[in-house]
Amino acid sequence: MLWRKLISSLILAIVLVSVDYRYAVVDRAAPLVDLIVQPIITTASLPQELFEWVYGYYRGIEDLTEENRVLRKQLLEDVYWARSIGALEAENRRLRTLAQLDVPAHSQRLLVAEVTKINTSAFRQTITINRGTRDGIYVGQPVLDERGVVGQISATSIFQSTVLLVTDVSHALLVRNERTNDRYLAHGNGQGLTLRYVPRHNDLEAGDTLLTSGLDDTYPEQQRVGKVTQITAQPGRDFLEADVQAEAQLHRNREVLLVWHRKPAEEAGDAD
Amino acid sequence: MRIEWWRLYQALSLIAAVILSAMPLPDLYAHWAPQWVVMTLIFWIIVQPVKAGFGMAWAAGLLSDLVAGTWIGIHVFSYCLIVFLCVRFYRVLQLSSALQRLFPVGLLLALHTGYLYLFSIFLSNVDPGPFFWASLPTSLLVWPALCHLLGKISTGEP
Repeated sequence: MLWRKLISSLILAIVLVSVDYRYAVVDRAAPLVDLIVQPIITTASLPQELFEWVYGYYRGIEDLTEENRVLRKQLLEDVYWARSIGALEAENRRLRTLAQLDVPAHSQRLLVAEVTKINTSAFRQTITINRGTRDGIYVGQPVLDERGVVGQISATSIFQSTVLLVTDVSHALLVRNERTNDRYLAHGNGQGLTLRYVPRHNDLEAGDTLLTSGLDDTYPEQQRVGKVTQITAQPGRDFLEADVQAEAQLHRNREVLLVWHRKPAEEAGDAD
Repeated sequence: MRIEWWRLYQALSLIAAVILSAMPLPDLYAHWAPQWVVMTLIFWIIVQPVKAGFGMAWAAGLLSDLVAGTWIGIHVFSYCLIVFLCVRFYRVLQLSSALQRLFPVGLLLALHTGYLYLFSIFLSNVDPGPFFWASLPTSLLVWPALCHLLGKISTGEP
């Protein structure tokens, strides 16, 4: 009797895993699953939030003044750079029109979202943000922070969405080496990113910065993804493997930036 | 008919265990978090070896899968196996003293950790590193306290 129960349970569990693996049942039923999971996650993060609240309360006013001073200085510099970029862009547009090249059209719509939950188990690395379909968020939308690429939206509901981080094992994106312009595919590995198929004798060095290539439809061009930390050669394999540390502060962000990258026409066509 | 109050405590303690294991920790300590759910399952088998069983394993497993975001059924598989071993050998768990009991409990916890370790390597292609096993010592340290607490609650029936 006990054996029969065990065997049937195990078989049923395996069937469940394969069905979910093949058809992503849980991902499809995300709004329903959220109803069960959200209260649990919210309760579980209460101690952390309490700690942060107390910590924030007793943090001295000097700290805040100092932070304010640094931010002001940063803002001043950024405004200067933003102005000069505007002029450069206008010049670029003019030159490209003269040379009869396509003028790159990129939307300028941005939205800042607050990070509400962080889930970083080895199996799945996601964060939850407080913006949803109500704000026009769509699946596949790129998410950045002030340092670089955070990830992309993987599921949306009305008031919140889930961001799949670039370090998640199911995530991969096409990157470009800033120094040499070589392109690589960067897979998430749970802790950072890995370039799995680097040809031998390829000019890739530790410390190289990787940028988004702009060749996938997801991420805008020229955004920082990460830095190469080490390159390893496995004996007997034709390719080198490189470890990459993500540039964005994936687990420490309080706010992230949402970018409307694709043109609306493409978005409508993609609404599957 | 007598109301089986322990069923309520069982459900509440399992939900509490899932919540505790979902608690976000700094990366440095994340691997050291005790395996609350497995320990709670083992405890209830020791207390109610005949009545507690696979239903409990399924409920806790499905909940853990949803919260951890793994494919549904992954935790169920391991929990069912653990519950089976506990029910099959519950006398070993019941009759041994608290100190002796640490050994079989440790084995069961190691079984679960090893299962997740293999799963992580073969299905997710992630090597979690040796610190993945760090939850074992903390779990065994917490185990007597957990037993004491749950025992107090489960025997203090109204």
